[in-house]
Amino acid sequence: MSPRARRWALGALLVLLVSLPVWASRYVVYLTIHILLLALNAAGFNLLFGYTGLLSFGQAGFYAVGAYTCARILLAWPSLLPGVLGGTVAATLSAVLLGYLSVRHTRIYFSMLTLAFGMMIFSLAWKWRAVTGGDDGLVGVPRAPLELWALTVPLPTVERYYVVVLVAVVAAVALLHRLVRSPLGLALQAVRDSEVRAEHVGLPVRRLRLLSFAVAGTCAGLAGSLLPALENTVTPPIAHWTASAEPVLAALLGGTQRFGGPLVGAFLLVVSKDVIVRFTVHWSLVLGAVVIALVLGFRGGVVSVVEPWLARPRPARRAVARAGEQAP
Amino acid sequence: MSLLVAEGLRKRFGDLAAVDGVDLQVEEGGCVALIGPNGAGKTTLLNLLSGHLLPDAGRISFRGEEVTRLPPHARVRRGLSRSFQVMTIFPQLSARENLLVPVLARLRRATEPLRPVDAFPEAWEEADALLRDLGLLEAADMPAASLPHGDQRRLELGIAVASRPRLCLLDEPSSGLNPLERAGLLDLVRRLGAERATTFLVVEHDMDVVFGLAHRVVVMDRGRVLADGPPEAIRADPRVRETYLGEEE
Repeated sequence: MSPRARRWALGALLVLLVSLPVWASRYVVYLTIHILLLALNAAGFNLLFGYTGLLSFGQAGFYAVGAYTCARILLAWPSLLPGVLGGTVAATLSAVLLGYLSVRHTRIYFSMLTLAFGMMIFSLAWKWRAVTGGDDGLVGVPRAPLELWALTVPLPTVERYYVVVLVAVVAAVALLHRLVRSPLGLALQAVRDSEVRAEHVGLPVRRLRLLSFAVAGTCAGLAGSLLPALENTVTPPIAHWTASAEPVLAALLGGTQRFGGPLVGAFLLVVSKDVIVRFTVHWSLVLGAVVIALVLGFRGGVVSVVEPWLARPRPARRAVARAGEQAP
Repeated sequence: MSLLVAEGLRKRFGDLAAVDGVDLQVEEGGCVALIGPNGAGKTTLLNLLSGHLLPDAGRISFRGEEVTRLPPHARVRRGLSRSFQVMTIFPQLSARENLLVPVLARLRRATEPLRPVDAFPEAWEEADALLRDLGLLEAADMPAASLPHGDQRRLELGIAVASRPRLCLLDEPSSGLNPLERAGLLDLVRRLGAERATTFLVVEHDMDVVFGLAHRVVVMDRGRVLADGPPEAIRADPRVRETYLGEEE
């Protein structure tokens, strides 16, 4: 798409999202919150996978750290901002710690480590009854009001809470988009393409991997922190490794080679799951078949296949022309 | 002061002493060729000097500073870079991005997280100037993997020199090229070396090339330095003729 068309499309999408509570049913708004949370989680995951070349099966762990921490804070101190910030920071810290141990390895070894650490977090959620409530989870988490200095915004309805989630997710995704376009984003892609070449051009490869891991964990943690106030409960299955597959599937579905891929994939995954669940109890079987069909039918992801239809190739580098003109 | 001093370097792989007590000094300027039969330890020596492998014994100092156990990226920052025998580029990045990565790293901008890459015109200009020198400006926006082999080899050389090294180690930079491309590439090495005040240490097989390019030739055999001197002396050295040149003639 041309930059202009892209801006219009993005603007239209934003208008659609912002106005959603006005024209859509409460259920659609609720479902959209889940799309947004998965989109953020998947976009963070793809920084690690598509941009840095590391396949993590541990995103659910950080999602759960965010969710449980936020829920505990909200139970003790019903104010949304400290809960969400606290949950996100806890997820970041655990991602830094587990990332430090994981990024020494790459490929399948890295993936298995993240899987193992994710399951450790699941066991904690399951067994550490005093903190997590065990298999009951944490219940009765209030949808606490958003308190900003003197201003207190109560969030009694899903529609109001949706606005908070929308703002948080759009801001985080926008930051992430800036990051992938920056020299840091380029450095991460260099690490993905060739670890050896990257360290021999002066890049601290392990530190870059850790940074990418921490950012991905932070995204998962923020998404997780936004969950308890919506559902009023947090239970162990959100930490299970099968939950880690969701951002992976969303990224693969939408395409890992484009920034927007995982966002589109999150939409497709949540919507197709919701539709299929209406028709059969064996929904996971059907969903699996749909995912396989989509992944095989849209090689490189839905976005890579659809984008060329939408118009010209990438609005490449305006700066190329600029740099070219300046040169003698 | 010597640019690079290596003393008593050793590296074993199991029973094989790949590098078995190498002393080497490289002075600033020109091009030093490193030759020797297959398995002589040339690539292992380069791996030790660049930090790709750590030695079992010995020490390396670069511009007066000990770097023996420093990781590769820290050596690059001190002005020591390299290329690899097997094509090692960033295949999915464009040709320009392949050069922007080392240029931004040198400018200490590689981890700048929030400003777009476009916001660093000095890096763009430098990358484009180098692309022009390499004859790759036309291909600037092409993914590196889609370039012809010869172009990829030139790009690889460009990546190695883009960090403005004082010493650049090249491991068979012209492998897989036809004689014409080979001559062109080594000509490029000579030109870049002169323009950028970079000293090269080049592992090369083609003897004509070696004797045309280098002002000094180091011959390795079985992990040791067998001979070291100006090309004419090396050509005349009976030991070298026997172990190495003899095989070729």
